[in-house]
Amino acid sequence: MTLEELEEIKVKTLPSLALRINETQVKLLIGAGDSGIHNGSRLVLQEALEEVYSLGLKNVMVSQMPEKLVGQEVVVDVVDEQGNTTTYVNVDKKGIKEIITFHIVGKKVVEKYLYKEPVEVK
Amino acid sequence: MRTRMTILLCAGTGCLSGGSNELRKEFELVLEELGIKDEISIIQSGCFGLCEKGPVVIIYPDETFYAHVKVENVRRICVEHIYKGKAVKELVFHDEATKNKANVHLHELGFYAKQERRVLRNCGVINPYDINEYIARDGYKALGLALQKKPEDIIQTILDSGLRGRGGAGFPTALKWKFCAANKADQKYIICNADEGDPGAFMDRAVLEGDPHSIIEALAIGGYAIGATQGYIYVRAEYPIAVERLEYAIKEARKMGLLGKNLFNSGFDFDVEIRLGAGAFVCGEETALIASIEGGRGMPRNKPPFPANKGLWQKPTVINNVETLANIAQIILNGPEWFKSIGTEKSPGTKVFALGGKINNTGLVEVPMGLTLRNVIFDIGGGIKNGRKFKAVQTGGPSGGCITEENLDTPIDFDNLTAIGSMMGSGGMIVMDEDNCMVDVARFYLDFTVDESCGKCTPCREGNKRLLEILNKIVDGNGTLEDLDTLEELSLMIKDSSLCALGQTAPNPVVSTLKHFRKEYEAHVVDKTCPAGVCKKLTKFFITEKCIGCDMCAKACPVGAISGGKRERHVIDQSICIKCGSCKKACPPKVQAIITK
Repeated sequence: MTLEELEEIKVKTLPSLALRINETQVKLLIGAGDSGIHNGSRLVLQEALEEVYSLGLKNVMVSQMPEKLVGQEVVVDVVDEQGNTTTYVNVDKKGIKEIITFHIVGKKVVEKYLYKEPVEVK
Repeated sequence: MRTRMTILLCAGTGCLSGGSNELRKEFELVLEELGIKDEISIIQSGCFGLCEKGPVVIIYPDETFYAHVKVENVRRICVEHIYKGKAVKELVFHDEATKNKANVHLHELGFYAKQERRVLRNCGVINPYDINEYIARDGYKALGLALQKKPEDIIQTILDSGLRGRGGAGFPTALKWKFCAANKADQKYIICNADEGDPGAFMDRAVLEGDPHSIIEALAIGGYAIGATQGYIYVRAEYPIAVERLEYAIKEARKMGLLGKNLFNSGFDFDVEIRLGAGAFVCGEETALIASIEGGRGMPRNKPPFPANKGLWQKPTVINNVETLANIAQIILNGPEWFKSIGTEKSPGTKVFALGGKINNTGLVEVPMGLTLRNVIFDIGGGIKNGRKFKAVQTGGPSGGCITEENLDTPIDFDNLTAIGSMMGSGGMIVMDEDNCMVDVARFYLDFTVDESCGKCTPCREGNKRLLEILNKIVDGNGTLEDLDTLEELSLMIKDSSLCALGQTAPNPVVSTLKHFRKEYEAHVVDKTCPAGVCKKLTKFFITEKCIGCDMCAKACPVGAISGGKRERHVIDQSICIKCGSCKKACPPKVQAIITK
């Protein structure tokens, strides 16, 4: 055994351990619940996991959250390092890739999927 | 399919006996049914610390902490949380710090917030059966780096860190290593003392069960520093899970070339073997431990010669405690300044305590030295059970003493605890409330040490037995005031003249309870009463006028000694009463009509 070999084992094993070591800063939460799952949240979730892994984003935690904004699924929340939440709606597999690429990596909000508070009609 | 979630099941002894293995089977079954088995990993780890709330399940990455999980709860957690993303609020553990929050995360719990987990860093995180996970947490890197340095540099690093032995006495670890390294011999040994025997202490067991490789790595580093090629782990056979995991870890380390010949191509050979102890408390003493490994009776001998000069098989030997060793790799990796960055000047680093007794959060805590006892008992331990009043805390197990309310703000370190009449010991911390009789507590500890005395020296063998006889006489209501003076006098004699630390410290609980609770002793010998209502022969149960006649006490009484009509004050027939206390427990807390005299 050498120190280099130890490092190789570490690099290989860390991804499976990463879920347990809470060093993530950005949270990517996929709305699930019955309506979310019915509208494809599980596909979006898997796509998010694949994308985060393939881009090597170590500070991003991907998880689920309870359903919200029913009728506009799949709903996705991005919670940044400061705890600010950006909510996206009607997200599909393509959409989650864009959110990860532009918002999480590029730090730019993706207007196309951004949830906008409904304007009250008087 | 990529793993998106980990279910971490505590597999420490407490949670395993609470059904952790059954939970695992149920989780596997339900995840299979839901068709999500491939995306969820299930890991069984070492002790999380919060044993009181076991079996414990943590869902990562959400860090949701489920307490007291039963097999019938598993389906709900799988469906609602793991599948649909909503934590099961009713099963999530809430404490004082988080009671108003809907979803509680592990790091927010009051129990963990003030802890600094260095020794326990891997416990509850890694799978102890997977050496790769230990390596992923920089395991064995310290050994690799140490083997690139000179042995004297390693000793200097440990010396600079100020690490003191965590087994009880607090002797500087590096000095032991230095003395042993200075001796020339064809063979030297390093031994891990895992003979944890204090009643209520389980710190070392948690490390052995949750992070066995940290001990193996530290033994190899220590072996290199002192020039030993053989290490032993002396562990009691009553720790079967720890033994199994250690055996597995040693095999894995050998398989990967981390034990054996020419480690890290340095030319250094090192291997470790396990030796099982039969559970004798005295074998925690260095020379008795050595005698036991050699196949003799576990009896201490006079020192000098110290083991560093003449130890196992008459060869220079270093013996370090489990917790001491668990710090070694971290110090090599992070440097002595990092180690000294927390703790007190004379006692740097952290200390693991096993919190037990009348405390809400029974379990294992690791805190920086210098934190006060009040912080540990009330902030981390969650205070006294059932809102009762704190009375005393016993540190140092049967060798220590009790600490009262007036000293609760003392910063914890080796010297401060000794100064207030107790000792650090290996880390047992038993909290007592107003329902504990201090005479009975002293009797309990002495009963233990009398049983565990090896019998070699007269002061310990005979003296402690006499102390116990006097205490038994007092709790039976036959004590006199002269007995209290005899207790004090005899205790001092035993402390001064016993051969080893077992005898020298055995009278400590008597001395400290006499010092702080003399009035309670006097109540036993003069008034012939036990104020706490524990000593049966001195206790009588009475029902006061507060009684509402609910009949709960009469129903609870196993011998039918209580009578009384509905909504009438009940009466206890003293001639029938066996003083079991069932009536007092059954009386509604708002009423509390039953008193002891």
